[in-house]
Amino acid sequence: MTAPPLAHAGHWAVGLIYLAPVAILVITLLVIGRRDRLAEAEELRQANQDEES
Amino acid sequence: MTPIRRRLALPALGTLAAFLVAAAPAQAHGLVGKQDLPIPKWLFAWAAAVVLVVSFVALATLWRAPRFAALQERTVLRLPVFLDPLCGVVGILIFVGIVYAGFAGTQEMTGNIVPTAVFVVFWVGLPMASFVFGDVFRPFNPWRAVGRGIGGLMARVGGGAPEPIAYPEWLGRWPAAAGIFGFAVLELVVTLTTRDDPSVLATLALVYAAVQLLGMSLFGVRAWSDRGDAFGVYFGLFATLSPLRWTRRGLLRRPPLSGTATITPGPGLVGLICVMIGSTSFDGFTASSLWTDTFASPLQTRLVDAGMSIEPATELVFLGGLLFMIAIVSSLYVLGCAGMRSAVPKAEGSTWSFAARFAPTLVPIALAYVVAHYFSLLSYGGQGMLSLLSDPLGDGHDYIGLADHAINYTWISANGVWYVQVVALLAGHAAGLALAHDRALLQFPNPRVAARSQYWMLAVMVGFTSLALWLLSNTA
Repeated sequence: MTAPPLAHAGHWAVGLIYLAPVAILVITLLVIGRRDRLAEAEELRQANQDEES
Repeated sequence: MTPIRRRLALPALGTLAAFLVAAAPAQAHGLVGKQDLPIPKWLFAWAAAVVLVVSFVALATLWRAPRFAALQERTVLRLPVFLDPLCGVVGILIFVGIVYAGFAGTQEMTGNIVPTAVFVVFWVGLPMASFVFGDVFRPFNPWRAVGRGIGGLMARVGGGAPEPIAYPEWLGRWPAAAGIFGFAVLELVVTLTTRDDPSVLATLALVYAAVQLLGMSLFGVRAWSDRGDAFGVYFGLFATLSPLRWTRRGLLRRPPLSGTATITPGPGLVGLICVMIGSTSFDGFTASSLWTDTFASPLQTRLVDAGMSIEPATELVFLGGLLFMIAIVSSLYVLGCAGMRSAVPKAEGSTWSFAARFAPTLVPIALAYVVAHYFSLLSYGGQGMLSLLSDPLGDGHDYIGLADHAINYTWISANGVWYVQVVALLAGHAAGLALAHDRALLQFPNPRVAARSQYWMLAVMVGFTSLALWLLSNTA
């Protein structure tokens, strides 16, 4: 009978620590992307307002 | 993030980190005594990520114009015209010698020169030699030499060879990708007894030669060698990183990495490079307990329970694993390209076209994976070639007096091997970042947009580095 994957969690779970820099970077990029999009939308809104006024 | 969520997230992250650090000793058994590193291996991955991020910031601020587009080469040595055909003859003789040894020599793996010549010198040594000395395989390529020889002979005797068919654009480098995948299957999937059988390797070498000659006769020597000959294309890609380039007339010098600008993106290039990186990664992955305990053993057992015999069951599981790893590498890269496209306002072209255009920037990473995964094999197994050259057939001869040469396993420590692996991976990924940045400056003339387009490529590079270091930490 083969052991379920969880039985070996101690062996492979430590590998997740290698993912931490990738996870931090991806979260940072998502935050930056969202901030950039919001800033662009705000710039567009301002430009439209200026044109209207 | 709300204050409550933030309050919950910090303890959760702390608990996860403590769990992972505490789990390290369980995984580290068997490594004690081999390596004695001053810091845990995962910290190398974190440090590598920091170095890549710092390199990225430095590139974005200091590298403001494309540098590799206008290739500058200088001739450093003129070569006599007879050298190229002479190298071709030497290449044919080596090929014939290897095939002969495969059939006539001992069929014991360690006693015959063929397995070491194929899996150590050819597969691992030549990529590294191509990086240092340029495309040294091309002049010695036996199939190309035979093709050119036959073409030359027909031109003199038979009034010229018939016009070759135009090489189909859609075919691109797919034949090369298929060839490298086939070799990876032989190396990683086919069971040990078959894989290392010298006569099997000699037979496969002849089959490969026949396919190359057929390809060259259909599409012409140059067209096929540049895109269809798997090993020629494979070594040629690594040679683009080299500061040296060989032509029939001379030896040229150029800035390192600049040769990648000459790689024409076309069908099959992304597939080929992903096969190169994915197969090396899978080789490392198969040595980990995660592969053995979680995937290989349970799946193998199920297949055997379903009525399959053990050998095909093992091969099927390994084939699935190889394809899965190539798919992971391809997905990571395509995700990076999708991110790149999304970061560029009004980007022209699909994600796939971005993937094709930026594929040459993965070549240094493929080389880094080869060096990192196979450095110890080359440094120890390569020494074995000395005794094998003295007794290539394993029949007791001692042609050059080195038949008893023993492998020196102490010339580099286990720590030394690990540092070479880390440095190779870091240098390869930093070079990949630099190439991607340079290419982005060509694609998007605004340096700010170019830097922004590379955010997600940075994530891909950090991901590849972490993956490689994790794989190595399991195999060392």
